[in-house]
Amino acid sequence: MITQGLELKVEKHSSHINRGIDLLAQLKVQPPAALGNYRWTPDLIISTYYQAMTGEIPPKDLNYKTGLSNGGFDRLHFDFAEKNIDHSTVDERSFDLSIDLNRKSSGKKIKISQPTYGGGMSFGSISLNFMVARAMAAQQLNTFTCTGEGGYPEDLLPYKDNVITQVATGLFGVREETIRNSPIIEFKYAQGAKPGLGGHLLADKVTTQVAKMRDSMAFSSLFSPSPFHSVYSVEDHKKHVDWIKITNPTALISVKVSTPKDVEMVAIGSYFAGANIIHIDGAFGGTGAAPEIAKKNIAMPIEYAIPKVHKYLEREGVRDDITLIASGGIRTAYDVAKAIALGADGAVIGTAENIAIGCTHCGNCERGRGCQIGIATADPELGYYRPVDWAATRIVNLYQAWKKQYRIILAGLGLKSISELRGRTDLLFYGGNGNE
Amino acid sequence: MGCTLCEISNCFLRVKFLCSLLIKQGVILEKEEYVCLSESKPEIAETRTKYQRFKIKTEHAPPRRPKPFPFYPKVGKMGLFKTLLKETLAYNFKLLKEEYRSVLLSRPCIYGVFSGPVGGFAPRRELCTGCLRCVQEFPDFCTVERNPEFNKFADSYWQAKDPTKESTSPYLLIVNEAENGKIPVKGMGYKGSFADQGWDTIWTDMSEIVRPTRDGIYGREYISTETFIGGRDIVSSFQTLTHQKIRRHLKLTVPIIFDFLPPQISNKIVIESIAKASKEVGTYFTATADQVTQVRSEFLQNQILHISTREDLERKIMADAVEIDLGSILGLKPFEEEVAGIYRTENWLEAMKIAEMAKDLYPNSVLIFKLPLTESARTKVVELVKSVQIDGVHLYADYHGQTFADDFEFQEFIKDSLRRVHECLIQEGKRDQISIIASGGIILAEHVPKAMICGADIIAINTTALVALQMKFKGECRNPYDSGIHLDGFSTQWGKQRLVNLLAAWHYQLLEVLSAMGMRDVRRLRGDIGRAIFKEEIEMEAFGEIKGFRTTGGKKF
Repeated sequence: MITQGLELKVEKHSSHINRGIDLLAQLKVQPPAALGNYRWTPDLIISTYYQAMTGEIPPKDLNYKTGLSNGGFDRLHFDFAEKNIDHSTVDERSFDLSIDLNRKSSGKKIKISQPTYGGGMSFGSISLNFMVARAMAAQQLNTFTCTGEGGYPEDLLPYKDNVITQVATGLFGVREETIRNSPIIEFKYAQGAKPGLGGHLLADKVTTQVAKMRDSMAFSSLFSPSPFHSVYSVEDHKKHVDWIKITNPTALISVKVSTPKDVEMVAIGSYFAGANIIHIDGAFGGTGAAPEIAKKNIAMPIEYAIPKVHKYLEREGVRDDITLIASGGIRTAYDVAKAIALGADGAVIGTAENIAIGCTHCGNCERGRGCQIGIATADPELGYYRPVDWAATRIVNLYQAWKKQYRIILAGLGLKSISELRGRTDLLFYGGNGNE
Repeated sequence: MGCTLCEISNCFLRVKFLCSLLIKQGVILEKEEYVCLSESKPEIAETRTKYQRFKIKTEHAPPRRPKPFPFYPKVGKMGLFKTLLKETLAYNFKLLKEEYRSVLLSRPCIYGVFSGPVGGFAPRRELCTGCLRCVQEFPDFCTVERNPEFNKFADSYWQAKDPTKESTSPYLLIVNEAENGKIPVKGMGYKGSFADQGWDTIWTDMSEIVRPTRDGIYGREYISTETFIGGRDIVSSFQTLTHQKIRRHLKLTVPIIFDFLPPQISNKIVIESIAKASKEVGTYFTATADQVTQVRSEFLQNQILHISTREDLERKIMADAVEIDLGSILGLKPFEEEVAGIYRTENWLEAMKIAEMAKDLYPNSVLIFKLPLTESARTKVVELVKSVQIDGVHLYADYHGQTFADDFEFQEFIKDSLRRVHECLIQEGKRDQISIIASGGIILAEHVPKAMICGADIIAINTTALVALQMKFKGECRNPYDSGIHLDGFSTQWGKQRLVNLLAAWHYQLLEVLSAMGMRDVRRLRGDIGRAIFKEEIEMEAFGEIKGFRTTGGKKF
């Protein structure tokens, strides 16, 4: 229940913030010197605001393609046959950007219209408004979003055909009906930002509503175990899959794992245990809260893991029977295309959606009331700062701008579908940092 | 029935024997250690009741001088005044109502930057977290800059590499850990550069399914960080086991000790704080006899006696453990380029003689020899281990992690040299004969497991302790003799607590890494390169086929 005073406050701050983000996006004000970092540079943040505002490709004076991390995607570039293609000259209908999420001969066929879907962000780690906006956008884009491990709020039900239910190690909010609701069930074994450590939701964000959804105690920190304490082998994992299949026989199974040294073994094991999607989440992925030591130092970046898994699945002769999805540090349309060129079928996006609705990548999601503008928060007041329709429109716009970039990339490489790009490392070259 | 009871009884005895065996071999280390099977055998049940989970007690130890803060919010006073005036006029008489007044006064910062008595007219900059909400709300007159003072607290190894892109630094991390003893936790993903150099080019592995826990819940094993300094003899048969004398060793609760800090960068208060912290945590510190003259004897049980002159060596001071700086005794200035010359034939022969002499002078002490890390250190360490039964070797790089080089060698980062020494000792079958202590450039919690993966058993910290105590840097501090650190006073109680907190935070972080790797014992980590991902190797595997990779060699542009 929102009181008049709260409504006035929300209106004041929300309208100011939205106006400010638009001014920054149009470069009508000087971006603050404190904005950005190596991975999310000021240019990337501002250009993401721009794309979310307009649905268009950003102006050329902004580097909207790469960051400045001096490695991985930031030093991989496409070796275009044709450069400087203008999107207005591209025939949209002649490019196929869709990907299949079930490549097996059996089971329900699910195709999404773009090579990305939304990553798991749980209720409690993000606001309900943002969660609903992501689902609304996914529906409009014919793709998916994911609940994360904090349960399935009722507000998501109108979009249930586009929502993936995540079953993570804490089993927070996992119920039979939420499994029945979803066309895809994602098992989360690990997360790239904190591989092998389980989820963290610090006490301040475990509000009464969050605790109720998770069947836990309010204002008490929640740490998911690491890993599933009922899984010690691939065979045990198969039992989990069977359990899901009993509850929802038509659901596709996605297995989200991190990127250990033997990630290819984990992938093949997951395939033989019945997974339709193997989702590898690299070391530089986003999170609502994680120990700093885990983000930087445990498990490999996604750029290394993708070719490793792709080649191994090819050698085992099962590559065309499974969908390989990459995530963890994929920030732009160009990153998505590079991930596909390295061997993935598609990507899962998290942080870019946050940025689209005003996130500055400041990293204050975990503390106190959470995000100051109501994205990664469980605070009842801040949660209203991002209006659902406004946020959904911006996420849709961002992906529309990305689709234009995919078409330009495909046209420049002489390809007609995003699937043709898969594993084409011959179309990449290793060069300078960012735009150098 | 009788037979069944006999079987149970035999089975119990076998289990009991096996447990004792494992404890003796150091596979299991309990609070109480049993020296020999021939001694009285305590009951397992008794041991169980004595078992206590190891935990370092932390306590808030506030900073004694302001911490560096990375952000510098600026508010245009005229813009702020106009906005307030505009809002006041817009609300007008509605301001008689409480809810409108609260709306007018509600500020665009949830971290309190504008919570001072005059709000945005005098922002409290030290509270700024760089969230930029103020800029998003009022981009016309608010901005947040990077604090130009942020990097002035320490030298280049401790600073943010590029303060225009980074909002944290090793210095700030350690100062915070020493304050609260907690694991630093933040939202959002990694923000740094990809993997430029040094320790950043190593990632530790993780396991998707096999994993003990940090807290022992869900019926899984606890993780032990207990380790020891000293060699182990390989036991090849049960017959010899019961009669074999166990080599003397030092037991540590964490694989971290405090390095020797010469008088140039330490004083009585520093040494006393370190001594007290070592005792409380259950680890060791290195200091000379002169440095501890004023420290109460109860805190000296955890001292490793540092010897760097021939006179001190011949004083034969009673000590559980002795660290002998061979280079210094030979008159080679430690941390300087010339110290690499210790491995030249004429110097090395002399060094070996000193080592032999030390063995005779300190027959009951754990003997550690301190040597500089150079390219040729690996063969010399093997030679030393083969000739003199030593317990440990302390291999040091400079405070920025660079090894030493003379005319015929090159400098490199500590991790590579360390790895080569470890591998060389394995090839010669001598690795378990000694413990390797490593120091130099190991300044953050994440460096500890990485150095251990490269072959170290124990890490010795030096400048980290001083940063925890908020010492000031005066320019670069690559070694302790250039006096790049300014000493000042504080209470030893405060100093002790800061160091205890630091070790607690590192202990917890070590548990996180071990937990992710699925390891229940820190000693398993030593030299386990199979559980690490090295940038050079993985990048070649992943990008080797990509045009331009081999020609640029993946080098930084």
